[in-house]
Amino acid sequence: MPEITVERWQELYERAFPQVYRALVAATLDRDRALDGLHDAFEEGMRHLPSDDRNLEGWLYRVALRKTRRGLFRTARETVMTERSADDPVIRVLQRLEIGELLALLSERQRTIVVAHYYLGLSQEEIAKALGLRRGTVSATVSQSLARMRREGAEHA
Amino acid sequence: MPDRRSEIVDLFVRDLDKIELPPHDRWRPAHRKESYFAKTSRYVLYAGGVTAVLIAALIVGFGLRDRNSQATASPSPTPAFITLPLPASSPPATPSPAATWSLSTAPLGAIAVACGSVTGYASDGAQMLLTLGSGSMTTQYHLEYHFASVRPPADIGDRFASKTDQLVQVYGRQVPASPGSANAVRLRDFTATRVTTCSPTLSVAPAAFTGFVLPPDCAYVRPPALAFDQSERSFDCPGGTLLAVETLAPAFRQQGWISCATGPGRGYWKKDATLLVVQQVANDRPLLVQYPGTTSCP
Repeated sequence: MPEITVERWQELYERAFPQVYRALVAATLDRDRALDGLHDAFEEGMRHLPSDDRNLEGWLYRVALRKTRRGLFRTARETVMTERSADDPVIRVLQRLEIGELLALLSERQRTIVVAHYYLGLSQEEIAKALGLRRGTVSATVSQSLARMRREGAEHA
Repeated sequence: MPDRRSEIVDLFVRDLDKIELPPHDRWRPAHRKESYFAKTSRYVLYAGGVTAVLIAALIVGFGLRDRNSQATASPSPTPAFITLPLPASSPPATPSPAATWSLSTAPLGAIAVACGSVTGYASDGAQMLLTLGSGSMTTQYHLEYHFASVRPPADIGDRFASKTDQLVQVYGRQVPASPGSANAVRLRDFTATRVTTCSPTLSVAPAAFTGFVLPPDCAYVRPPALAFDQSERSFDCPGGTLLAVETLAPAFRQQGWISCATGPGRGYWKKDATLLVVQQVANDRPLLVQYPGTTSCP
């Protein structure tokens, strides 16, 4: 496995950015948090280059999520962000989409796992490892989320 | 609601791929603009760091200067030796085994032995300041636990606080005082033990250079370098360093010293419990090296 250089890291980041950014927006319902988290993850990668480029999207997603949750003012920040997201045109577009409506029914933790699984294509094992969860927890969360989306989706339809 | 995995994946991809991306120039983090507060804080931190380094350098500098003022450069090849000022009179000729010193003027490197009642005590867990008194005379000792040969009793402070009489004997090698306890006698490799009786005198027994008088046409040329386990003096004789071993031999015999051996450039002489070595030194004056407490020839 070739070692990742700084140039290679920048190239891989550019390639992964669209998918990871969209996954983060869908998970957090906040594009500013998504972008800030990705920027932090990029800098983290510059400081400590990943050992290889396997599952780079998963690495970026995990680190960005962790960065968005860090900080003394996390709770206040998330509250403000959630209120602000209602005015965000990108989020409004997302919420008008079918998947957006369904994701809005889930908690952020459920969205994080479901998006990683169905959009980033991570296996339940990879999600469990990346997010520090048990595989059974990931599996149960996916099942519960799907059930809820199915139930609520049918009601809305 | 689709219920097959491929349909769910298609739905996610179809819809989430519609999320608008930010402009490409925002994909990577820009240099974040630093707030006035953050910038000021950074400058204050930098200034604080520089100030701390300067203060530390000044403290170290003053410490070295104080040390240098107490000890001039030693001619000894052994850097651990501390040199005493040269006495104004002729070199010591009295064969007394040891002199008695006031602790406050004891030579650095000398062994301090003291015994007295505890009249003061302070400790921060890493070191203690122990004051021993005898009559009207008190001396404070700075004892750092990590330099202890044997851990001192843990209840010295408790007994002092409860005003219980206790006699403590300390023994150790004196080193320069620390800036924070400049008046305390600071010891290394020390022991501090509680004793039931002791002669409550405060004394220091330096490894004084004694017991041998040079022939009349020879002279000591530098201050002695004293330490607790050996002492050195440079001397000068007619014939220089090459003939030093032979030149001193008659004087040694005359003063009751017994020749142990003579090696290349060295002569070993023994008397009582002291070994003296005459030693040639390349490009310098010869040395007399004294090893007190040596009971046999090498």
